[in-house]
Amino acid sequence: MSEHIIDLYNITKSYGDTEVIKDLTLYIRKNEFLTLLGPSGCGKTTTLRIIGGFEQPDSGRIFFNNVDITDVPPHKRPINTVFQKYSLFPHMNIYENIAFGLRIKKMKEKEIKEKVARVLELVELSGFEKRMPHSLSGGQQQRIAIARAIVNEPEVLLLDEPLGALDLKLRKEMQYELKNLQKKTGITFVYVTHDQEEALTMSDTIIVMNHGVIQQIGKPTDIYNEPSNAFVAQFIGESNILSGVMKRDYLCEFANKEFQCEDKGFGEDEDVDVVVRPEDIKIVEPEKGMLQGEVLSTLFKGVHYEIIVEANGFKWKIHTTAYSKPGSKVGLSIDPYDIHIMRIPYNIMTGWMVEDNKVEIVDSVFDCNASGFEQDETVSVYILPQDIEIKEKDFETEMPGGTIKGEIVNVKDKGLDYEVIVKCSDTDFLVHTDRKMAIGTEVCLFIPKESIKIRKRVDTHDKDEMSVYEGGDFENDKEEQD
Amino acid sequence: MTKKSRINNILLSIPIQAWLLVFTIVPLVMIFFYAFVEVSDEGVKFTINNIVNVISNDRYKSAFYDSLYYAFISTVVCFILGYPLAYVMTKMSNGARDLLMILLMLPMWMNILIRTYALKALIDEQSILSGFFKFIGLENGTLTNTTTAIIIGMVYNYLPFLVLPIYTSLLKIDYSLIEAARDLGAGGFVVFSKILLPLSLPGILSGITMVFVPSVTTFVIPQLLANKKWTVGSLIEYKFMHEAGAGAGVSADGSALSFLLMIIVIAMMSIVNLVDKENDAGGVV
Repeated sequence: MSEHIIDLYNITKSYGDTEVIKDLTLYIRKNEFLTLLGPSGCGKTTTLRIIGGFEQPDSGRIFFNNVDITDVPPHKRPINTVFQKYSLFPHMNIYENIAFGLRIKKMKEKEIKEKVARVLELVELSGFEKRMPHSLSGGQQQRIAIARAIVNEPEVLLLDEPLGALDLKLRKEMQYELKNLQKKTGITFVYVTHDQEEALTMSDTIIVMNHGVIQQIGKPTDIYNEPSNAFVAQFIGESNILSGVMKRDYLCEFANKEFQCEDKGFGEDEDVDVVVRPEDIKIVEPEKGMLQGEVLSTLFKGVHYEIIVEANGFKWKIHTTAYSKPGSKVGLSIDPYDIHIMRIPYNIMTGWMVEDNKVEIVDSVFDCNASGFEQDETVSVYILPQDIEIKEKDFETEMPGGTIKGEIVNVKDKGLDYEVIVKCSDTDFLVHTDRKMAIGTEVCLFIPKESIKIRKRVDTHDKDEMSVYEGGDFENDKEEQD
Repeated sequence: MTKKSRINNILLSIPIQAWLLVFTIVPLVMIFFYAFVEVSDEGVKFTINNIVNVISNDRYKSAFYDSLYYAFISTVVCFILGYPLAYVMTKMSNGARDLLMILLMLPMWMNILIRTYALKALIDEQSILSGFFKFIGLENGTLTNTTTAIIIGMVYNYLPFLVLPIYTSLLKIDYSLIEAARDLGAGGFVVFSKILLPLSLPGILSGITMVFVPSVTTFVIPQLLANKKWTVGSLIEYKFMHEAGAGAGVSADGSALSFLLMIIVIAMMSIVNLVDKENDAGGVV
């Protein structure tokens, strides 16, 4: 196992009231191509900027080759960045752009000339020394931006969606070139993208993020085949996501039916997310299927048909090469190993201990079971979505423990119940509820005190004392890929 | 362009063309005329004596020298005060920036004469600052009739004209360029000298022009704040308004002075434009 080059410990970062990174811990190994993947606003770019030194974390520490660099300014870090908009200096020609970093190191002109020529050759733009940035195409500017960064021979290269502005064909070419370049130079690449295909193509390791929290770390194949939760499954490829209950090991109930599966180790009757890929559902004769339903629509997609079948109160999305007539009755069959069972992820947020057994979250005070904290100490709060009770408008009723007001901004049907996102001030709560609610409804959230888990924030220079990622997946995933 | 729209364009531009003719071209022609002719009983005769007289006159020469000197110093002071101010303004919150902008612009809403009289009242003998002036060792407790007074007057009047173009050009600089420079190892000074300064050069040049040109030609400021010091501006004003007799509007020396001043200003502007163009062409800074 190769050694770590960068370690982030318990990083948090807020802009105003919005927490963009929540208690993030990860490491990057030497010479790997690591991708931070997630939708916009998931905290991936902020994480990259924290590594580059352009943002200071509110708490937590960053280590580079086991040296704490949290307070080191960007120009003193042995890390270079390729920016989203290339950011070539418009008043300098290509030679001066690439030589910029070397000039600062007071290198001899002869040496600079050699290095610039070599790096231009590497990005296949030899002879461009005298050109100005604006006379170059987007793809060429991108390559110059990469050349300008790698000419300094950084140990780590940060790339912030560098292919975002290029057209599809050029993007595919550049993906291939970037991967080659990384292999050739042996530089550790930390790549940020929202494009799952890009991430799957290039990366050695992918870190999937959402709402400032790591969802999964793993090799591309692991991320695709064994998504660790419903979000990852949804984000990487298409998925059917349902709420389910683990009856016992190897038996799960969802869509009002019990299914054999290959997962174990859950609590009895534990609420879970169930993920089934569209290509893993087979359409069979009605009497031979595990579920019976009616075809709602059939859409030709080139290689396959996308068929929506309504069965047991859920609209299943199925990808198959065989045509089914809309309106016809069909049976659905799913193999046990194609049923992915996932723990429901916690809502993770920042809280402040008002006093023993009282924590403030998003301007509201909740009862909890936690003592031994200092007054006003900042803590991390973990709450499961199914533990939150949702009340519509009838706010007058006294609820013990504490409540918070918010607005429903998203609703998702998961078969047995609904997954709603409630926005309270700037914080999103993920809540599971049996009732279908409309987007825009004002609601009140009640969180029983047993469901609020409090964890101490760590902010220390001694990383040996720091806790590891709680989800457990972090260590496991990393070991698997070795 | 169709014939009709061409006629329309001509019609639309008639008022301004008439204006320019009366208030720019005719006076210019008159300046040229009186600068290069000698009017005597025998009639009108072309001559370069007027120009030669002005150039060989030591008093006029020293007025030229002083004007350029005051304008140069004022421009430098404006730049030293104005550039950091413009830079800080790009970093401020909207509210703070607007407030600063208003404070900067507020004096501009008043006439330059009133502003300068107000300044005169501040630095004159027996002003509220007299005690302070005496304390720092000025005789009579006044700044009036000193070079410092002129510089203060010019900086006070023309600073906003330098800050605004620089602020605009700094605002246009993509912040990621500064981050890119820092990423490549540049500290604060290198970021300033290699990125901020060259990229804000167009704003700097137009700001400098906006301060230098009115400073070198002004007559109100030196006359009110230091009436014992001659500048080209006050000299020309004196020639036309007092020596030639009020209303005469004819002065050979005054016209020659004006002509020379115009040549100097045009020469200065050409140099500035040349630097600007070089920068546009992407010269390595």
